[in-house]
Amino acid sequence: MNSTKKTKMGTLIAAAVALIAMLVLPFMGINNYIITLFCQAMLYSIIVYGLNFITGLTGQMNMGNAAVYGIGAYIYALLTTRAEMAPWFAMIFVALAGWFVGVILGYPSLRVKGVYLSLTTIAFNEIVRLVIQNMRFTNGVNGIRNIPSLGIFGFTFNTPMRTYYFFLAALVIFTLISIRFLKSKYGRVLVAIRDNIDAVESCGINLADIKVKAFVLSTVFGAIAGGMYASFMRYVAPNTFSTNLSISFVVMLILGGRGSVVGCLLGAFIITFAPEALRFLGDYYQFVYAVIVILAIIFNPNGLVSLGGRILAKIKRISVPAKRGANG
Amino acid sequence: MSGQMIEENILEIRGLTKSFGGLTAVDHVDIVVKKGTVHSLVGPNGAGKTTTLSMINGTLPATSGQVFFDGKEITQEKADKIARMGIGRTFQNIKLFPTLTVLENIMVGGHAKHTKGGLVRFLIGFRESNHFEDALRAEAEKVARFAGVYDLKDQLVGNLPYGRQKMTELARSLMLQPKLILLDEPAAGLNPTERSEFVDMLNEIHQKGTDLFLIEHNMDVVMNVSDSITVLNFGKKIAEGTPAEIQNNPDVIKAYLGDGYQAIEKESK
Repeated sequence: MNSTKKTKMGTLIAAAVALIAMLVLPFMGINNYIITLFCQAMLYSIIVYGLNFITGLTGQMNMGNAAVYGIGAYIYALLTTRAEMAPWFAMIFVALAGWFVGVILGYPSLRVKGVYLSLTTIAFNEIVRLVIQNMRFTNGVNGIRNIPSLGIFGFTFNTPMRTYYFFLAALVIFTLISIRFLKSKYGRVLVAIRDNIDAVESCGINLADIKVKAFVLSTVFGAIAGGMYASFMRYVAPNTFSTNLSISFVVMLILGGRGSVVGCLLGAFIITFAPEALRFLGDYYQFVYAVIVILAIIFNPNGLVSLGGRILAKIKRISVPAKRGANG
Repeated sequence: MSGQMIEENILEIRGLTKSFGGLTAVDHVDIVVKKGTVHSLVGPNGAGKTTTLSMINGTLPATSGQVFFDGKEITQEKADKIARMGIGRTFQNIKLFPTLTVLENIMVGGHAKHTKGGLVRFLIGFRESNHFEDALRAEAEKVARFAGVYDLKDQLVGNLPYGRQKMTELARSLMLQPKLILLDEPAAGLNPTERSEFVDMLNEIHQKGTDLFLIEHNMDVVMNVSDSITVLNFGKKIAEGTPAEIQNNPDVIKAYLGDGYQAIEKESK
């Protein structure tokens, strides 16, 4: 009992420290480009949280998250520019679109086991991208410009600095929702589905229903992140939302650690900053990046969050025999 | 006989058949389980016992035939609905959730009961959902205490010895307060002490008003707990009756020990 309380306190303190660090970070003399990257990483974190509910817990791969992200971004962009809707009002439609996509895509693909979710979501991603690219009202490959930004009480989030704090607040909210979901009875049943799918049905639980619920939550997260992206960039183009980006989201999740909120954050931030950190490699960047990802997945399949525990276990294993030796 | 099933039967199976391609695993089996009884299904390996159980609880669709539970036909129903209607189940090779704790495993068993409202209501309604969670936990703790796994409730179930895992699985099946529990070889792999403990628990569950339908190989368990027994061999029902009748049934002896057994018996006379 005592030790669990201690770890709980530890987690709270770590979270508070991280939050304070994030709050003061923009004043540490970093340039706008780095702040923009932080904003991007925060958006990706929200998407990876969503991905975690279905891919992280039940192990079914969703390769179409970039399309959901794109749908969110385009709906925000179209509603605010073409329909001249108020930005916050448009965000409500963005969330509804996320819910709609989740239901439409989730029911057929989550009923079946295995790789079908990956296949349908890859196809979905390509269809969405091609439709956006070739439709006149989305302005094709040129994308949509001059998208109005979200604001609050006449204070518009139109600079990287302002957006940074807006996104940080959003990230905190989505983190709390995520933790609440994972710790709930739904999170518990999703882990149970991964552990033993047959037994879950015999417990009277409707598998399709609970998987669709988790999936819908994930697409709502993705769409809202998309709306936020459009508000931040003020410009959207179809190429951003490729299957490559979807794969990046899966890599973030697996590299960081499936099933864990901290893992999602680590994955999203590391993958977003990797191109910066590895810039000195020049043309070899893609190669080195790929090798790092492959090695990380082979040698640390449970993600970076499990690394601390593994190192601790190693140290214990080394130190225990040493103690015994001293006693004997 | 056709149409509605008789009120005093908790479970009634009529002409239940399962074919896998050319192989008929279960062939026109009729079984009647009366309310307030313990019914055992026995038979040599490959007789179709587990297949029958899976057809009853809906995890395997029947090729033909009908299953009635507590006055309603459930042949076409899905497994999760049948479980919510009141049929619990345990498995031959334990099916638990190894990365969850004992208590969490039991709580998954009660998940379906405390589901009210959708996900949004759950995420927003802190007080209501916390109340449900607390109620579920309290009930799971009660069941864990009954099953003798309360002291292990915070352990990962994958780390538990086999006997305790069996208890946890039984506890999980109790969470929906079933009217009938299907037990697939509950005593297999248990040592004699654990086995008698398990039999005591089954008797207690039965006395509290839950009927039991079990597949079992351990004859001491079968003879001690069952009111009636059905014997399957190669998918066909070969005998039915009280434990005493079954013990002396020549067909049953032949199925278990082969034709040669009676020949030897005659010779020795």
